Amino acid sequence: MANTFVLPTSGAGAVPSPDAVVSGQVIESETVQKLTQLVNFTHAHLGCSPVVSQGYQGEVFSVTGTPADYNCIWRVPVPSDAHQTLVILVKAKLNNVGTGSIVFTESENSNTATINITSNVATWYRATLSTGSQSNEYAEITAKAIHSGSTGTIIEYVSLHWLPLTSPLAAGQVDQNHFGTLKITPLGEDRSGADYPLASARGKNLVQTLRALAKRPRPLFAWSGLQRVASARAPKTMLPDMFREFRALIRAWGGSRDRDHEYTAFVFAATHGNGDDRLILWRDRRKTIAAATVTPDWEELTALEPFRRESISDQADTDLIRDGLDRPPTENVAPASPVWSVQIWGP
Amino acid sequence: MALIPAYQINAPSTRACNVDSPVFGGTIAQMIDLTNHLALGRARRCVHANFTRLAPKDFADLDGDTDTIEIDAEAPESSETLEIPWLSSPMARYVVLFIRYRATGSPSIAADLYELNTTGGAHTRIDVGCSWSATNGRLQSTRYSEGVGTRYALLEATTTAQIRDASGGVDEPRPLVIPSASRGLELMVRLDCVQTSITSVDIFELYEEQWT
Repeated sequence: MANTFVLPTSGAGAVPSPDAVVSGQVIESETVQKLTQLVNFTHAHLGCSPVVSQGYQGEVFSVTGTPADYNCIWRVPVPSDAHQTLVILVKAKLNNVGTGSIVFTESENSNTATINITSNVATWYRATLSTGSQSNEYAEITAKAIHSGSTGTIIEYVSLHWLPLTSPLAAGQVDQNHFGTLKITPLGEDRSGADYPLASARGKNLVQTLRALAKRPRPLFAWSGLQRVASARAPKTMLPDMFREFRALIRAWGGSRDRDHEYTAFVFAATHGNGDDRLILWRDRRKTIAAATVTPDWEELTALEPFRRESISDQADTDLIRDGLDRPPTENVAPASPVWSVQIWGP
Repeated sequence: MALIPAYQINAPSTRACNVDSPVFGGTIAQMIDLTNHLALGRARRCVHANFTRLAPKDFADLDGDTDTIEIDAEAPESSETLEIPWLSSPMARYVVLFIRYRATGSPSIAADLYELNTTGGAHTRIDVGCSWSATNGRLQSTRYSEGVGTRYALLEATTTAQIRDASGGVDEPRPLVIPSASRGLELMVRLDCVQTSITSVDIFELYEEQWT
């Protein structure tokens, strides 16, 4: 079967060794087969960590009736054009009586997925959202909860992740969606067997696929404020303490190519119409949101690998980065900041 | 057996694959090193979970009124249960947690691991996990006085990434174990908290080859 892969589980022997191809060794077809299978696996699974993982405590995400528009909005990275199914995991309950649901919508093709909430006890629900092909490196997802009465649908957790591809991969090149022309070529494992030549074209495809996969982002941080929910105490935008509370720990890969590592932050931002400019700070990037900007729009910030590692790295036996937006300095503190939603992704 | 590179190796040049050029072992080795790094390193799942709570005051009152925004003056919950799901990767063998929290009184956090059930049934517990508490000396109140006010400092607890045997009971902090049959499934970490408010949790999967 072409384009297959096996899972590199413990003891499966699926991991090729670079020692098998050092000087003086014959390059065995088995080694090349393992390599191509593992590349296929990487294409299938890399980037399938949760792109959104947000909990809501104390009925902060409670909705009555049908809101005029979304409650939450996220801009999430798309692993590749072959990844078009988002898995939605929601923990929710009905406050008392009535019927409730939560609808997830993907903006580019207007595809939706609805989860009906059926219990007064907090329960986990699962649905899938077919996003269709995306023209950008991201997909914009919104969530809107609905309740038939006045007592409320209560959302306690939202988790979204891309469904990994299954074996065998579909034939044909796939757009990576990131960094322009980089393409991913599924590698026919049976073309790597004994008596098949290592063609020049296959080698170039392999190199380009590896470059594309090395650029594929992992979701690192996601937070959306809550709009149009029942409680007036629900944070619509990031509160000052959240800048500190929500800073994510990220695995730093480093190495000789760490300066190639690119991080992206998308911030959905607007002021609160009170006549004050607001400031977004992320690493060495600054973006002023002018006072007149009261309708939120996406701001894209990019940065390279930071040099500073988190001190907790020693305990974790690995290099870690602490990442997240920075709280602006005192003279420009935004009590209710301009950050309606923020997502960060990187290597 | 190859070491799994923690660092990203550069991809070989496409010129190493030109027509009629010999294929050098170094080129293939470079491809293997990079593939192992991507497949066994970066393809492991990582989760940043954060928990949004009600603000101390109505949101409209917060704009321009800094005195009302003191989340760290809010007393931690007396008890609450948090659940964090994710789709584990097939090679995930352990789960490492970093937990940011505020605590008061005699706080505790217990972490255990489940296969997630989304059809209404009970979740299947696969590791009874570990705990942080005043009893085992891993958790204390973070309450302190500042002027006339009371604050709760934000601190961090972790399982660490140091692998330790599971006793079968609730252990001292250690990475949670994913049995081989559960790898690749949708899992859930449950955190039972007493007098502790968790603000965010970072989850990393560890991969380790089978040993005997």
